[in-house]
Amino acid sequence: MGMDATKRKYIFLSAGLIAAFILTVCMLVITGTRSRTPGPGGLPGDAVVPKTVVDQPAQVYQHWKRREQHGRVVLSFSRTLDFIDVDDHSLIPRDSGDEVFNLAQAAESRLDDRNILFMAMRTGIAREVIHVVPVSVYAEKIEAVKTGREASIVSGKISAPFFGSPRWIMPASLLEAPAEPVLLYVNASYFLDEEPGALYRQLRDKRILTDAIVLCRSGADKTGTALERERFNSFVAMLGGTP
Amino acid sequence: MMAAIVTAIMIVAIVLRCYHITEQPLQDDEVSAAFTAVNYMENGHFGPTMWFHPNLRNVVLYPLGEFFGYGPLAIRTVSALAGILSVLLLGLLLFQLTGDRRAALVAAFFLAVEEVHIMFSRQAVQETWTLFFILLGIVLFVGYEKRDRPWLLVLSGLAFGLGLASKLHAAFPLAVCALIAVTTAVKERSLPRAVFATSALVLLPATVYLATYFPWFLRGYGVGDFFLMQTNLLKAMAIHMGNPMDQTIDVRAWEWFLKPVGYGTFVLSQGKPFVSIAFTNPFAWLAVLPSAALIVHKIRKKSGDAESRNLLFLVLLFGASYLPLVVLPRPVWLLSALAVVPFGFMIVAYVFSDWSRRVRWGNNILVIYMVIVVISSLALYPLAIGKAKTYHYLSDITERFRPEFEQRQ
Repeated sequence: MGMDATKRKYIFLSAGLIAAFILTVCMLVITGTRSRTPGPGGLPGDAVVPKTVVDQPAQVYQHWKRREQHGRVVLSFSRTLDFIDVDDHSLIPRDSGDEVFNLAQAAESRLDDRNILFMAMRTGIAREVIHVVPVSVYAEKIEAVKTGREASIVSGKISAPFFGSPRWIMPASLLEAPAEPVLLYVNASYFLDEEPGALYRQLRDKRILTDAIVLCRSGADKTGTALERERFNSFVAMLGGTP
Repeated sequence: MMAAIVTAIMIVAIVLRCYHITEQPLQDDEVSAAFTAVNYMENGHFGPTMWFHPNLRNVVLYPLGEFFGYGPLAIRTVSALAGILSVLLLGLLLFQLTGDRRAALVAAFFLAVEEVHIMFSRQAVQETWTLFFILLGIVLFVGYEKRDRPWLLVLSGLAFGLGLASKLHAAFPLAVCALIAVTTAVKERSLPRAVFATSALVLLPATVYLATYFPWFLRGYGVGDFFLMQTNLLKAMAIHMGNPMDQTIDVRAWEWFLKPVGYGTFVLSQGKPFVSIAFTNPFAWLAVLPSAALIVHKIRKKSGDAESRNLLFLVLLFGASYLPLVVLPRPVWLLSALAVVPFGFMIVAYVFSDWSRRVRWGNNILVIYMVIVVISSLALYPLAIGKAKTYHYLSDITERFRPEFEQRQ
């Protein structure tokens, strides 16, 4: 009888511990996925997908923030990564004493045109960033990865995680459709080397779903050639927007 | 008599860890730890400090800081408490394993006066927490093995889970305990017991560890993201070479028990430098490896009996905790020794206690040895409380840890 009681205790406790583990995993996953804010998605060019055209990259971030985006996958098409780091240590005053504040909010005060995607990840708008860059830029980045330590190459794509969170750099040919609608960001600088029609076809052929497209007229360096502007306007028109 | 000695040891542990703890200026790492707690709990974001370590420190410091303020008292209290209770647990564990009261008291005393442990008990870092949960987990595990009370193993798993959520070092002693628990069940041909052991010492720690990532999951992540993040964290940890201000000497774990080593930090407060250095007591640390060799020899001679099995368990805990750090190719700073040296102290305490009974005048020699350990610990104590520059006799040690950029000036 004693042995049976012990065996029953083992079984009961095991069941409880296994249930606790499963419950914890489910709770974490459900809470996590429910905190994302994707809307109903469509293909770029579909009338149902809202399109916004802005002048400066910083306005892209502000647009996402106004729409209270959270936990999204951001898909960026730009020559630049727009991921200049704001070091948290630089935000902590030398003699802060007991005063402790929210570093993400402090970092946000340093938003500029060169760090919008960093800021999106820093403040929780983006949980993953995919940088699609022109082939010439990708070639430069690959060379840098070979001599560095923190990024790696996975199936041709550059993995450059940000505090453990996924961040990818790749040419359009390696892009695969994410499993959910993305926040699509297209910067005019992308069109210095790339054709708008090719990009439009790639987005639709690869079935890239999005619930919000933001198009930016100028790059982080604020320069822009007439060719970029012309191709950008053409791309906006393909999407059904007003350049 | 026993109670009086234990009380005295605990008073020593409390006094050495709490003396002027609120007056000692916060280290940069501690200030960063406070910001990291807010950053994690409010944004689910890691960093700025020690970002690839688990997050129990953030989960605990945040409510303490929000309620009591982020001053030295609130953010150092848990470390001090963990450090003090670890002294008690260490003695209790050795007594559980050997039944030797003298050895248990000696081991507890070693930790009570150990300057490295004292220094980190006075800082808001997770190293003393990790040790506390490891020791608690092992004490409960041994209790389960001896008395076959299943709830003790559940509590052990919980403690190990909290240890894992403090620092991944807890995985090594946990693995030893889990292996023993499952092997015992397999030998008894008891499937329910094997499943229970696995649930308690694998699933339950994993559950606790996962739960501390709740704020991170709130950033929109799922299970696949979690495994990717953990992989990225481990990669970052594997290549972590320190920060520009980190010291470049004494960064090899294999040196810990072969020569005195240290870890220095400094902070400027009100225009004055406060230098703190964790420095190993050679009279205790250098006895660890020879004592371990003696114990291994004893185990081989007496293999099979209960005493040798318990000693083997102790040696396995030490080896499993130490060897992975020895073979790590990247720098390993002395902080990591806190998860290792207590097992070493138990080994030394057992060997000395055993020897003192066999040798003429052994008791007296043991007392003299303990006095030497106390004197050397007290001599090193100013290093632990930020007074390294106040005492001239410590200048050789202090100068050794002056940052390279200052030495070049």
